[in-house]
Amino acid sequence: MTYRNTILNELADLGSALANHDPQNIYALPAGYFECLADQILNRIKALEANDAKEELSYLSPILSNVSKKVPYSVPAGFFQNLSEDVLKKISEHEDFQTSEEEIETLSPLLSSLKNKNPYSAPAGYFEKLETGIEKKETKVISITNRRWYRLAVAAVVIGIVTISGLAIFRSKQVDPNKNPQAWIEKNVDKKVSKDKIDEFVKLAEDESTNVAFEKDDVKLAEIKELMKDVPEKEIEDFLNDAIALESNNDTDGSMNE
Amino acid sequence: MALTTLSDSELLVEFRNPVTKEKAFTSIIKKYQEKLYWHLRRMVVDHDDANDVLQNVMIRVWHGLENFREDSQLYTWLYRVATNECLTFLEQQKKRAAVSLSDVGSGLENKIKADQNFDGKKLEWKLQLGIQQLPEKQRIVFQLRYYDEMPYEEMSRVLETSEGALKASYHHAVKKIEEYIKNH
Repeated sequence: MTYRNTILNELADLGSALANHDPQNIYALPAGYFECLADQILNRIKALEANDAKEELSYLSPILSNVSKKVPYSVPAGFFQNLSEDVLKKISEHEDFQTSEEEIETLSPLLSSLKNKNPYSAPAGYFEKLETGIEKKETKVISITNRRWYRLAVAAVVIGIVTISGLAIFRSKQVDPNKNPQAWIEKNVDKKVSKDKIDEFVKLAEDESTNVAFEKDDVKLAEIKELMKDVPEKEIEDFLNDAIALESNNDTDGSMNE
Repeated sequence: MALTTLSDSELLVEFRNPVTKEKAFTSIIKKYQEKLYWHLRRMVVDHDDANDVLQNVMIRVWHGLENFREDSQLYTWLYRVATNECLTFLEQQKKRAAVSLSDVGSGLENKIKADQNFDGKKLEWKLQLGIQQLPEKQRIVFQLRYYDEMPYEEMSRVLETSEGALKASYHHAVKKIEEYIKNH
């Protein structure tokens, strides 16, 4: 009131006619407006969050949601059955309307004349055979999955048999050189080395042994000379003469006993 | 396979083939004629007017379907064509009414009352009268949502208006119609 009096005094000071007017609210409110306002706003919020039109309407207007949606207007009998024909007729009556034949005739009479002339031909009975051929092919349905597994299994078995057989054969042909040296030699040497080479080796071995013998004799002679260097030469002659005589006696005895 | 059992995409393919164009077009008409008719009839009230508008819609479809980009459902596109054609028709009615100094709104109300089956006491007739009180676009929004139960997302593509605006428009429309029914 103090504030209002201040404003009125102010207006009076300004000499305004408004200072004498009692302000009144000229606008009218619908009856019960504020009593229903909260519910209306809440229903509006629920309607905005509704999942479908039916639910939305139930919040916005329970009255309308209960009214039958059947439109009371009537439709002439057969209207929908004839509609498509009526529309097509109207379209064809339009001055700009053209069928596809008319269109190509307008654009190019030459192409229009060639339209039904197909230069290609198919062999006689082709389409009849094609249909049955496709059907036959279609009946031959082989399951690939089973076949593949079968093949893999068979392959695995064959490999196993071959491996086991090979191992068995390999082990059976093994020869122990200590237990059977001749068989080992026959297996490992005879087959690998030719007979000529063996003969050559034997001959070489004999030559080697002879050379070895000569070398041995040379060694013995050197040793004898070393040993006999202090022995007088007369004693060696006497020894040799006695040795020869002894050998002669032995030969005579041998011949007499025969 | 009968064309009537084909999907919209398949019908479009058949329509684009010159050999099957007319057959596909007939199938499209048969598939959507009732939905589109009632959408128009509820707007223009009179059967003859609804028939005229519907045929104009279908002629537009015949010429425009070749270039339909399929960036929306065929159903949505058809509804858009029908709605625009309907608004054009009502605009022409307004112009004629302006010339004759008559009221288009009361003209539609009179057409409802002139129907041979009209019964002012029945709730469904009151509803039709209440609908006619709405501005044209609000009337379309109400009918698409109330009768066709069209999702707001789809409606926004048909009417090229935001979903929020459509929701607000529909909520207002419901309140107005409810008020009309209570008062009459």
